[in-house]
Amino acid sequence: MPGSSSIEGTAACVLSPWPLQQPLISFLIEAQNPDGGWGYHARASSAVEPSAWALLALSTAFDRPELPQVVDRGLRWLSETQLPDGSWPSFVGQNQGCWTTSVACGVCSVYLAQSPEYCEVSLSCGLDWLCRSVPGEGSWQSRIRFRLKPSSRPGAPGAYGWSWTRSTSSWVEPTAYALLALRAAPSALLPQRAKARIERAEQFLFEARCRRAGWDVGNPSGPGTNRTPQAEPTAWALIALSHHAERADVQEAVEWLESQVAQLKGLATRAAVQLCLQAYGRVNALLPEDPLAFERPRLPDVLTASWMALAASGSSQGLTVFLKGN
Amino acid sequence: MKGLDTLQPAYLRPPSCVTIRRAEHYAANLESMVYETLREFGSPVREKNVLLKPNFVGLDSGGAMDTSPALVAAARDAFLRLGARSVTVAEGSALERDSTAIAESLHLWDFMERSRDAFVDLNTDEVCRVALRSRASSLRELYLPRTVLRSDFIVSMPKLKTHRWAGLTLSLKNMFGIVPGNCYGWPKNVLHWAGISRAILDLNSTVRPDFAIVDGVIGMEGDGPLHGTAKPCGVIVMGDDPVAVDATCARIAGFAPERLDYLAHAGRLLGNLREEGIRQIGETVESVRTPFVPPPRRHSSQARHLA
Repeated sequence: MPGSSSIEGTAACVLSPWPLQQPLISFLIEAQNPDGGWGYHARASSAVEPSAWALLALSTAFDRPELPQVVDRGLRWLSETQLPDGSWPSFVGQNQGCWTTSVACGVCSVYLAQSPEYCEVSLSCGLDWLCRSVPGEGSWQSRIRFRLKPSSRPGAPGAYGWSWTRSTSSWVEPTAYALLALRAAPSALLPQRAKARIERAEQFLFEARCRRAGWDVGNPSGPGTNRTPQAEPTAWALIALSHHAERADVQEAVEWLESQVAQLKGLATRAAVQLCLQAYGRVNALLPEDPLAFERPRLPDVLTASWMALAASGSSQGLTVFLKGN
Repeated sequence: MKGLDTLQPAYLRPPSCVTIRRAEHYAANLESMVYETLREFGSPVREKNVLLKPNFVGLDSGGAMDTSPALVAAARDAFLRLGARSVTVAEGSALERDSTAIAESLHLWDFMERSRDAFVDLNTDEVCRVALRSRASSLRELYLPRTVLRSDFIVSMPKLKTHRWAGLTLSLKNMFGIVPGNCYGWPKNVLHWAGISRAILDLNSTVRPDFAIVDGVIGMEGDGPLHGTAKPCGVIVMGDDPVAVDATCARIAGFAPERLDYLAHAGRLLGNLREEGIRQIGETVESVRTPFVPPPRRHSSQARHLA
C-alpha cells in the first residue's frame, strides 16, 4: 500500500552514491530542451517518458545551483503536456493518454511538496485517469466474450493490469509503472477505487510470471506456455512487488535475476536490474565506471542516463524517491 | 514516402522477379551474392539513403530468432558498393526496449566495424504522424519514425520463421518493427488489437519495402517467432516485390501462401502472389524446398488453417 514499501527497510544499508553520478546529472541538465522537456536523445523533440525519468533522476541530485531552474522548467513542461482527461501522451500533439501517465504521476508525487502549483492538480487528475483506465481484456465487451468462451481468457477472471496504449492488453511493464505511481502517491490523493485496482494488478503480475521464474513482457497467451523470462520486465515487476519480498515466488525471481547479471546486455537493462537488486538489498555493480565512455556508438539516451543516474545514486535514494513519494 | 503507387490490382501488375540463392552457412560470400542480385535487379540506389530493416526480436542464443548480422553487414556493403549515399541499419524491437542491446548481443558492430554509428533504434527515434493509405484495419494513422520516412530505399530483411499468430513472418510482417515503441510500447500491441493481418496490410500499403532479403540460411519452425526450433534451410531469397518474395518463401517452407491471411490479401493489392506472376531466378523452389513444422494449432485460427 502507499508508503509501505519494504525498500524503506533496506534504505539504510547498501551503496554509497556512485561517484560518477555527477556526469550523468550534467548530461541530463545539458540535454534539456529549451521548452523544458527532454527528448529520448539529446536535442530530440521533447517526449513525456524521458522527461519524466529525467526529472526523477534529477530529484536525487544535489549541490547543483542550476537545478531548481531546470526542474521548474521541466515540471512546467510536464504539467502543460497533460491532456484534459488527466492522462499524458507519449509526445506533444497526441490526443490519447498512455503508460507515460504512470511515470508522470510518479514525478508529481516526488515533487509535490516542492512544487505543488505544478504537481497537485496534475497528480490528482493523473491518478484518477490511471484508476479509470481499463485494458482491453477488462472492457465490458471482452468480459462478455470471456463469459461466453472462458477458454479465450488467459489467467484468472478479474485480474488485469495496465496496457501500453488505450484499449490494448495488460503487460508487465506498464502495470509495474502504474503500481509504482499509485504507491508513490499520498493516500489523500488516491481515488477510492485505487485499492481494488492495485489488488487486481498485483494478481495479474503474479499470474503473468513465467514458469521458470521471472517475467517476460507479459504475453497474454496465458500461463503454462513456454515463455522465457527477460531481465528488464523482471526487474520492473519485482520493483513493483517489492513489498511482497517475503513471498517465495518473488524471492525465486530475485535469485533468477541475480543469476543473469553476467549476461546482461545494454545499459538500460543493467540500470533497471541494478535498481531492482538495490530495492531488494542486494548490491551489484552492474554499471560501467565511466557511463559516458561505454562501448556504445553514441552517448546514452536520456531514459538510459536517467535510470543509470537513479541506480548510481545508491539505494539510500535511487528509486526510493519514486516508491516512497511523500 | 512510397505506397500509393504500389496499390494495384493483380491484373494490372507486371510479373515480379524473385531470386533464390543457396547459402549453407553465414561464412559464404554473402556480400557478392547480394551485390550481384541487386545488379541483376538494377535497383536504383545510387546516391540514395538506404535503410536496412532486419528482424532483431530479442537476445538470441540459438541464432534462429534474429536476422544474421553477417547478412545485414553484407547487404550494407553491397549497397555502399552500388553507390548508395548512406546505408542505415534500423530496428525497433518488439520485445526488448533496447534494440541496440540486441544489436550488441549479436555482435553487429564486429561485422560493421567501420560504421558503429550506422544503427538507429527506431523505438526511440523522432516520430511523425502518418495517415495510413489503406483501411484494412481499424487503424487510421500511425506515428512512424522519421528515419524510416526520410529514407529513399527501404529493404526488409526478415528471418524465415513460423509465427504462432500470423502463420509465417517474412518481409511484410517484419515491417511491424518500424512502428515505434516510444509511442506504442513493447510489444506494439495496438497492431495485434487492430488485427495482425490487417495491420500488416495497412503498414505495407503506407511504407512498402522497395526490396526484400530473407535470411533463410537458418530459419525457425514450430512455435515461432520466439520459441520455435532452428531449421537449417540454406537459402537467401531476394526480390523487389515483397509479396512475391514472401510467397516464394512460404512455398519453400512447404506452405501454400494463399492460406496465409495477410499474404492472400496482399496478393490482391500489394504484389504478386500467384506462381504464374513470379519469375524465379537462381534456384527453383522445388530444389530448395524444406518443409517447416507449422506453428502449434492451439495458438490461432491462422495456425490451425496453416496446419
